[in-house]
Amino acid sequence: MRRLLPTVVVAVALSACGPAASPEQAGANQEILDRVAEQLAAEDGVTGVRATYVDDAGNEAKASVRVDCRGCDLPAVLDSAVRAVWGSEVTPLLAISASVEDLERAESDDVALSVRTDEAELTRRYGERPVPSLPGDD
Amino acid sequence: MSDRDYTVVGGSHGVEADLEDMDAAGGLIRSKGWNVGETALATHKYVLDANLLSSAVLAPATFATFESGLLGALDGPGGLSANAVRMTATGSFLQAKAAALATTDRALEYLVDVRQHTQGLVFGLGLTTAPLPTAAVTALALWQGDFFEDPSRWLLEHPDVLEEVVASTPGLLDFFMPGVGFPADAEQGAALLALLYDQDLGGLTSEQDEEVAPASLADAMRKLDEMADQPDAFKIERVGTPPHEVYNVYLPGTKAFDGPFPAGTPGLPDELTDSGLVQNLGTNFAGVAGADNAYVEAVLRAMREAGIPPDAPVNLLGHSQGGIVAARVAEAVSHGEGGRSYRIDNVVTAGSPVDHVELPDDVSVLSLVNEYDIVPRLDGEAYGDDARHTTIVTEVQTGSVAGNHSMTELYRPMVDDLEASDDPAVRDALDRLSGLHPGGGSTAWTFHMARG
Repeated sequence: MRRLLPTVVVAVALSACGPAASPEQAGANQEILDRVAEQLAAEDGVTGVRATYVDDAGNEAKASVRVDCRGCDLPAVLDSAVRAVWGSEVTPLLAISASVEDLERAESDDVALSVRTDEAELTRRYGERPVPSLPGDD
Repeated sequence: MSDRDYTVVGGSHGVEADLEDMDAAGGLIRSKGWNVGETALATHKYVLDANLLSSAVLAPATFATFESGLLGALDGPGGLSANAVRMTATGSFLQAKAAALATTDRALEYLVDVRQHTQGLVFGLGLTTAPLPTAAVTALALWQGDFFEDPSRWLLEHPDVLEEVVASTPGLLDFFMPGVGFPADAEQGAALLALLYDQDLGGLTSEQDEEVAPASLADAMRKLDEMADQPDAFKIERVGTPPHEVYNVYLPGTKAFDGPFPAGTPGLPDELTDSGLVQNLGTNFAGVAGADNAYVEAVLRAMREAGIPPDAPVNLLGHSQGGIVAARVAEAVSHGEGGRSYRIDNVVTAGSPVDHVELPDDVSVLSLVNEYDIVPRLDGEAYGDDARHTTIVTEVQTGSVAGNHSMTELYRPMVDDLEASDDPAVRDALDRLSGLHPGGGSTAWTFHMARG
């Protein structure tokens, strides 16, 4: 049996999933990630970097970094990407997606992290963030 | 493998698959029974064989021994004829049992619908005849469930109650507006709401890149997640080498929960005005309704532009709205829409309400669902037990509606876990998808949609 109300409830319930950052914050975060991209582009073998701050209905405060390279050290570049995002002043920051594709060897590596659940591990590996991941956090 | 628990509904280990196996086994036994019967019948001619009968005069004792032996083998208690009857009866019984169990299963589903509808009717009756006690009992139940301490948190933790309320509401409406009749279901309701929104596709542009093909389902889900980095974009990727190439279509989800009114309308908050995006709320309504919309139109047009051959396997992967669109594209292709024929092998959805979409039997569907994600529940349908539709359910509470629905935070780690699983039901579901991640290089077209 199909139902009418779910469709309306979709609209109401999901409208709560708005952006976590203001447009100004989102713009500032993108500028920070542009600098992260420049930093990563200087690494050995890296041929292209796309670093994007995504904060919309389907992605809440996410830093997404995609690196293309030729003959690079995949785990090392991936680690640099996560370290650079974690060490940046991007806030709010709730999720990190980083990937590296080596077109020469047709290999890739990636990581998907939730700050909500992986914060302790990220802090252990990369140290304290320079800013709170969520405004209002200590 | 993490300590997460997974429940697998449907697929090759589901109830429907078991019943199909039971029916097939019954059919096979029955058919073999007929074969044995036919053999028995054909062998009876030797009992009255003319040459044999003429030899009876020469050796009557031998003839008698042979005849009694043959008749015993054919018509005795353990003979061919008796076995044929037994096999035919057993096969028929198995098939009848499978049909009865399937009917019972459908009846139980219907009873749940009836219960939920009646629940709504009774609540309406209570509100009319005894409003204060009804309100008091409802409030007491909510208070006991700690609803009033933090209503939004409570809803986040009890999506099953939300589903139950949603499913009971038609009964409540029926009580106050008996026989209203229309809109009668989710698709009709969504179709009405979709009409409020612009559904036209303006432009579609694309760029081509060389990429690394996914070497696992997790890689493919990462590519799907990365498509959400830009608005109104999706990707078609050609993997493998001709003539064995496979096409993966990555369809990300909603970018804006917006309203249908023109931007800049005086007096209206931004939330009620049109974002101008294709991946908006209007597309969700159209997708649920199965109505024409720019996203599905763009994907069908892009499939033509990418030159996908009619016999090349196509896998559609979508998150949230992208999953609904994936199912609708598969449905459209099966109806001959889109100007060409395609071979859709698989639809993979993450956090999408697709149980209400009827897909052709030759399309396998894998749905990944988080029990605490409200989005896949909002079609009001229980996870269907279908041999071709496997739903893998996890239970992860991140503490936010968005987190419970997130590709990055939830569904990608879920796929990482599943790929390490040795559960036969999970393995069967994932093994069907092995063609979409051959590794190696790939060619990808990123398509950008625009409103008219």
